[in-house]
Amino acid sequence: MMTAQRHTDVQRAPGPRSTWLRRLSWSSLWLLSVLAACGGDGGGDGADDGPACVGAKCDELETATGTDTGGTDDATDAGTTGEMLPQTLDEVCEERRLDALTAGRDGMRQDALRWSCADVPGTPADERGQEYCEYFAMVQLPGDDEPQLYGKTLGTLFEHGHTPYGVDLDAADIAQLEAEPDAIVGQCVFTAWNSDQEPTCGADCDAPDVMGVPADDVATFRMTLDFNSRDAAVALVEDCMNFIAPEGDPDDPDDPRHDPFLRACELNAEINATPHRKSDNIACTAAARLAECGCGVGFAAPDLATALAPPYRLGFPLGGWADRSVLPPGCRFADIEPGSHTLVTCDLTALQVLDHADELKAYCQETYADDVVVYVPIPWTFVSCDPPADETYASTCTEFPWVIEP
Amino acid sequence: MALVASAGCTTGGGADDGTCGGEVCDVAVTKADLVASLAEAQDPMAQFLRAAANDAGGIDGGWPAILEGLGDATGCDASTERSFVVLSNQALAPKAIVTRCSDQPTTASRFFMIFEPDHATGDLDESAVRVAAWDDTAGVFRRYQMVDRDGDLGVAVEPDFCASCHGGPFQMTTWTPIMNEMTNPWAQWNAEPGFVSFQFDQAFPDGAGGPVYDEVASAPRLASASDLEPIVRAAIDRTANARVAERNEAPDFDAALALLRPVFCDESVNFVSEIHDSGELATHALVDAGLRRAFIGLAGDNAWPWPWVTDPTVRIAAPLLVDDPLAMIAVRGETTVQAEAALLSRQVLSASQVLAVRALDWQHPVFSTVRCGLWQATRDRVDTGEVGLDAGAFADNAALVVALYEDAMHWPTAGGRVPLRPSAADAVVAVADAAAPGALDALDAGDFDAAAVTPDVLGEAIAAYVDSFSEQAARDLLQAERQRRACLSRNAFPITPLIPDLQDC
Repeated sequence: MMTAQRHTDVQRAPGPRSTWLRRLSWSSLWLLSVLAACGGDGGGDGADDGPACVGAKCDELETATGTDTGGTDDATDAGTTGEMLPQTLDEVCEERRLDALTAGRDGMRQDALRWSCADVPGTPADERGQEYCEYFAMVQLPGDDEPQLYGKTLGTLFEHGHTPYGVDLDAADIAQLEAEPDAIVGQCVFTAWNSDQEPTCGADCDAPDVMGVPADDVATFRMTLDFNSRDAAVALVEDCMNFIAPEGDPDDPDDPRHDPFLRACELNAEINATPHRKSDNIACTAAARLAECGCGVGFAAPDLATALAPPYRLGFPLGGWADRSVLPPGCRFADIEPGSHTLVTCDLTALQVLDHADELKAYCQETYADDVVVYVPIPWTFVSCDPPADETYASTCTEFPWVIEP
Repeated sequence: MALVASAGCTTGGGADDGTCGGEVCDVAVTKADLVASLAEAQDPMAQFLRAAANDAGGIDGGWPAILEGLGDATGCDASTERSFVVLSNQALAPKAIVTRCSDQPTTASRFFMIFEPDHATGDLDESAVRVAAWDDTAGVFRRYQMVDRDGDLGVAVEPDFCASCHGGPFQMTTWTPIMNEMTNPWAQWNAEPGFVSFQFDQAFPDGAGGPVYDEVASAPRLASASDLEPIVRAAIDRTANARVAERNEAPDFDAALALLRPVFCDESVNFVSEIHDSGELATHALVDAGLRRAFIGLAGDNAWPWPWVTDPTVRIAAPLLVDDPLAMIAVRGETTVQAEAALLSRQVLSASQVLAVRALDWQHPVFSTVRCGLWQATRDRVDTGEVGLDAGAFADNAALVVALYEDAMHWPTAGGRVPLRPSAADAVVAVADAAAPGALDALDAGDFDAAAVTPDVLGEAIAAYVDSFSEQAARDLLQAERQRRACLSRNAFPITPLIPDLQDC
């Protein structure tokens, strides 16, 4: 069995990056993240990136309003370019914790980590798709030869733009849509196909069509954003295992950092500047707990990061809250590879398109996104843990330490 | 037509207070009578009844036979059958709704079978089941009430009993499905599997249930309210589409007033709850969904920076350990919102016109006497002839709707009715809380510019208002507003659910 080798960390054996990290407050790091934002195509091995740009998940930031307020840093705009609610890091982390532990939508289970495709409240409309799941609408109006895409991101960064959000309908369109109100004229498309992954089946994929477009069509159905890559996912897990999350004051039992989610959220904020994302916090918390508890994976994978995001998988599989195989009514899988489950399409009737023509992507978010769930399967039968004696939180390790209870 | 129940009137389920439920008298006693009463009907239930009715105009085989017949008529087999359970407003006794083709919301919305509680046993009543089935030709849901007879089920076609429930305060005669709670966590609905039930589990009455309940509402039939929600939305879309089709008809004051009404008045209500302990709440608990839609219609949802426009949910301060999540907050009804949206999407009214209405008393997304009063004044003016419009001069109802809208958008001042229009073309008259002292003084004085703001300024004000609910103290304000709305709902809508911790109204 391979055991995760914990890197030197901030506290005990600082390497160049660790030392650098130690010297900066969270907000200062974010500001530097802005100045040295990843930019370009990103991707690549995050471990080789510059100090303020850890991993491919690092985003290009246009603004930063962070001010060093000593533990109540402003989390505004982290990872986004738009305006979000001014909140402290503590507040953002508490919200993500509530998201992850809300009854019925628990994000940290024995067999999988999970979160919905819906972006967190406050995400600007043109920055949706931050949860390892991008979505858009696909509509073919009566008389059109082919479907059009609405709200599809067009590049590796949000600033690369997107297709139009709304459909312009004229009187003839309206009349035709009303004439056959039940007709399925569109789909809300949810894709978790990593932006850096290629199908292994090649020409033999035999993928089904979605409104006449093969499900393995890269330009249409693969995610485009740089931080929705497999590399980013692996880097996230590795980083959160390799660095020790800020620990709570041993003399203060009420220190929020004694909570594994909240301290991992701070760690994620430090290394990725994405405390607002559900996905990054859940994955980082699980990774940090696996490290704290000395967990390793058996022969199933060379390391835990690879076990969670294996290279043969196109992306994290999608599912529903009730079950990985049960989607919301009106939705179905369009498997690029057999059983891949990285592409889900949900019906849009003529009436839905008509009634929401000016906000189709928002309608997909509101109607389906919170019920289409990203799953990170955990090969738990192959995971074994041996909490190191010198780990502060070793005594809190359970049989499945990544399962965080409310 | 000789349609008389063999044993006089019988209760058709529901409350026996004469306002909802009540008696069913028109039950066919021969197949000929039953078929005659279905002459116009083209819905799946009518199709089934024509083929399956016995000589006495009844149905043999009970509700399973009806369900099977509806399945055949819609091409939906038994494997697609799902049941959904909600606590009724009759002492919280559970009732059930059954659908087929449940994984295809549009198809599933072609019929609903409803099981009411049997108060004598605590079980579901297996006789007095109801069916609502969509007639595509007529563009209406047709309603059927089954009644127990010796050996079979009698059928009442389109009984009157439901208008007071589903018709709301305006006594609308077309039936629309009502799902009181259409968003997570569906407090008084069974939410499992997939979600966690909330008040449903806590308030489920002791002793409720029985063999019928067990048969109807058990695995594999039993499903989460989350799966009924899109089916009901599809049904609401159907009815909204049929309703707005009236715009193309010959102009008629009553029809045009009815089309315009949802922009101003509350024809229905829904209820939303905080998602368990998360502090996450449907945005339209705080901000009217129509206001949001109007902003999106003005410039698209990516043009505005505020989460109240872009997100279906907002964050309020999460409940403290000693607090319960806020549950069952009345909001503007989904059928009303969709009827208004249909006017927008069919370009009968513009986003600016809708915004001008919804900006009035915007801190009260539901139950605003100011907004509804404008429509009621125009209705009264139509009734008295003061409106000064000749319906026949208009091309169709759509054109008449616009004229009636313009008439409604007048404010009564000491000098008479004045167009409620600021001098700046890009501004809108906005009033946050019409009940606040002095809030309407400027309007009463005819000084509309004093209350005029641009959409940007209004949006900022709404954003600040929504943000204020991130403070713990604001939970008390919301609790008080919840109480206010609940009482108003109880007075106006017989379908208002029982809210366990509601204080006296």
